[in-house]
Amino acid sequence: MKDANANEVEASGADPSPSPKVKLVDYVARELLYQGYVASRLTGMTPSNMRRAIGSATRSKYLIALPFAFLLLLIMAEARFLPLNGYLTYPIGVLIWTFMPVFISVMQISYGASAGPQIRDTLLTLPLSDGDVKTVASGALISSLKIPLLVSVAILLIAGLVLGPWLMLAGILAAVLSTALALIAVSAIVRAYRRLGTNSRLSTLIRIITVIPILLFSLVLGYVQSSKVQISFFQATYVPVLNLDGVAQGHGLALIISLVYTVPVAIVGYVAFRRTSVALLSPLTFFASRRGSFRAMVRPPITALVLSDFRQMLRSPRLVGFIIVPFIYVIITIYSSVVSAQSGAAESYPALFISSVLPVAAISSFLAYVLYLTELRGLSYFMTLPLGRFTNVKSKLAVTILFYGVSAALLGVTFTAVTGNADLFIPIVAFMLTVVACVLYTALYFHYTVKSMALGVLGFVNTVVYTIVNLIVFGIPAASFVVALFLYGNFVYPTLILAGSSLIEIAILLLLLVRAS
Amino acid sequence: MTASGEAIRVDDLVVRYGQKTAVNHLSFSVKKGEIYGLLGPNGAGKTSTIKALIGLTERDSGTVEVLGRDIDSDAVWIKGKIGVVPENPVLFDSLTPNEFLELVASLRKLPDMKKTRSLVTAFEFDEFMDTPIASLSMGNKQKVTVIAALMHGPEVLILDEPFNGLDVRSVRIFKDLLVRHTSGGGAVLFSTHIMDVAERICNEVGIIDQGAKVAEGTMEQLKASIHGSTLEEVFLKATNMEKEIDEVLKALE
Repeated sequence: MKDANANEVEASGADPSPSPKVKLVDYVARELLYQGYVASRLTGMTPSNMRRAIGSATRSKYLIALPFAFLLLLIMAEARFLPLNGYLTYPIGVLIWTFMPVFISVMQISYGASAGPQIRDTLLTLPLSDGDVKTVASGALISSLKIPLLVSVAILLIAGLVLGPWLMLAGILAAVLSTALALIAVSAIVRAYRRLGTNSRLSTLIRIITVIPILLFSLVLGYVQSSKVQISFFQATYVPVLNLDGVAQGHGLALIISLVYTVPVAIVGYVAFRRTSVALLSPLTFFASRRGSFRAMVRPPITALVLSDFRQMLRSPRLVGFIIVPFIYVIITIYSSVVSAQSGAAESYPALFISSVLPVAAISSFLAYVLYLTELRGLSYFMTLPLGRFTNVKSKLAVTILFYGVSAALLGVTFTAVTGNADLFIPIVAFMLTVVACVLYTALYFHYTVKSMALGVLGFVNTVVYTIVNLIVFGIPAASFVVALFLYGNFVYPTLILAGSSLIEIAILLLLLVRAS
Repeated sequence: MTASGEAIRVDDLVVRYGQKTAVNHLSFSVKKGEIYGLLGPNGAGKTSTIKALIGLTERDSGTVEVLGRDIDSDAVWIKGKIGVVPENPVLFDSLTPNEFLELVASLRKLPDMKKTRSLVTAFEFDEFMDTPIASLSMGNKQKVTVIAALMHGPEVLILDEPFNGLDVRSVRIFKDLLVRHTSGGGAVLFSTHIMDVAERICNEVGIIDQGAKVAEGTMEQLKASIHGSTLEEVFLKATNMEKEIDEVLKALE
């Protein structure tokens, strides 16, 4: 039918000129941006101000792109001024920090575009050939990624002016290669999902497999950073990926060879993605694993909420990313600690704590925000249920404490095993109070935000204000602890200061929450 | 305080979105044992009224009482006594109906799932219980919200376009359940565009236009006062649409 349409169009000479196609790509990209941003934040009300929602979505994309770009800048500067093992860490770092946003963004669009099928159906009803539909779909999907890519490339170009053209070239090659690899990975996963994900269990399995490419890249980076890999001149010239080290060092031959494989990989990436692009906008069809099985049971409200949060976390790409990345970080840290200990280079306790446990606590302090955001999707129904005023807060506390507890405990056990001393567990437990304060603040924030959310979406300024205040709630106890740690050199007084300041925050926030509800 | 026998009482309700007044000084009441139909053209303020009634939208003024309790001071108690079918079945997409109904039953602290099981069977929904809600058709999503609204045997049902997307069999079952619910002393407030359904099952009807009530009464009272032989005629006359439709049709000739 589609081909017949295409033939008719060709015969009538009504093949659309490139200009309408470019416009169509732009419209579809805007729609994807809008849906990706708004879909998970719907309150049941239709957002009335689409322009404002798209503006918020665009600014959010920049906000998300900036930390990645900053990371690229740091890696580039480190390669220039503190080259640990040649320049290898630099291209590998660019590879992973470009791969992650591209891969996660596309996966998020494919799962998150609630009206993706409508976009696809609309495209298929237009007088476009099958190839045109694919071009428009892939163009729109790639266009929706342009902000993180442009920000990263701009940083690489500008920094290249200061740090040297070879570093810039190596970085851009790594970014192009990484983007293509991300598109190939997405295409492979989506194809597997379409073919095998015909029931809820297989679908869940494939969603879990989604994290494997990220995990592999992360472990490679961890390995290169921790084990001080040295590569030979031959490897730095002829071996794909490794020879980006050669490019960074200014070897012309390495540049030519890297172009020889980067260009075909980029083409393969685009072609594979173009083929999959329409599937990315197609409905996800599941069939029940078991038919006619009514297994629901009544549980205590908080248990039911916690269970529901965990179920949604494991099935939402947004949440899976949020959880998997810290866990990967924990795995890399554990791996690095064991390797460092084997080489006799054990770090001091304060450094170990600040570089390892503090980031996990900081990430945990934002988990409740993501949980509440996910809840907004079904909020209009959720608000009709008879929930006690602290029931939901308690469930968010339980999930966050579990998340932080498991991650931090894994680190604590490893450090204890490596150093033979369990002191690090004292501040790990105390930091739980700081995380609790952040959950209470998040609950308070959502209490007021939901009330005023006529638009149905969280505005950009609103999100920035939340982030800043949450960083302050976390930062006051954390900064006091770090300063005290350097002053006293042991964990006793710093932990008392940490616990004391966190408890004061908890008391204030509890008071505000009681008054608000 | 509601008069004895009143399940819902709305007094002088005003809801504004910025400059736009969605509900304009609206008052009505729904008695126990009654099905009250809230009718109106698109954008008349039906959904805003229902949202304000269950606390989803903030009121600018006016009071809402359900079973004699104020929605502001006794919201949790009221939510325990009502069942709601919202206009759009926007639920937790990644959960299955099994998991979603389990969550709702747990939050409502039901003693068991017997009634839920019966409803699932009645709506022939067993085979979809393990399918993620995101993958369900609109009608099947609607069935999930209908089952969730009825599972705890609420005293008051508040339904916004409850028959949207449902198949003929399900509509019939649901309508009969509503009639049985009111004959047992329960109350139903529902909004709909389907005049036939409203005419057949409503004891009383309120017609609103541009946020304000333009007519109210039993079928007989409305037909007599507005001079219409069917509810559709009454509705079109009450909302001044009859002449407008004639003009539009003439223009299309």
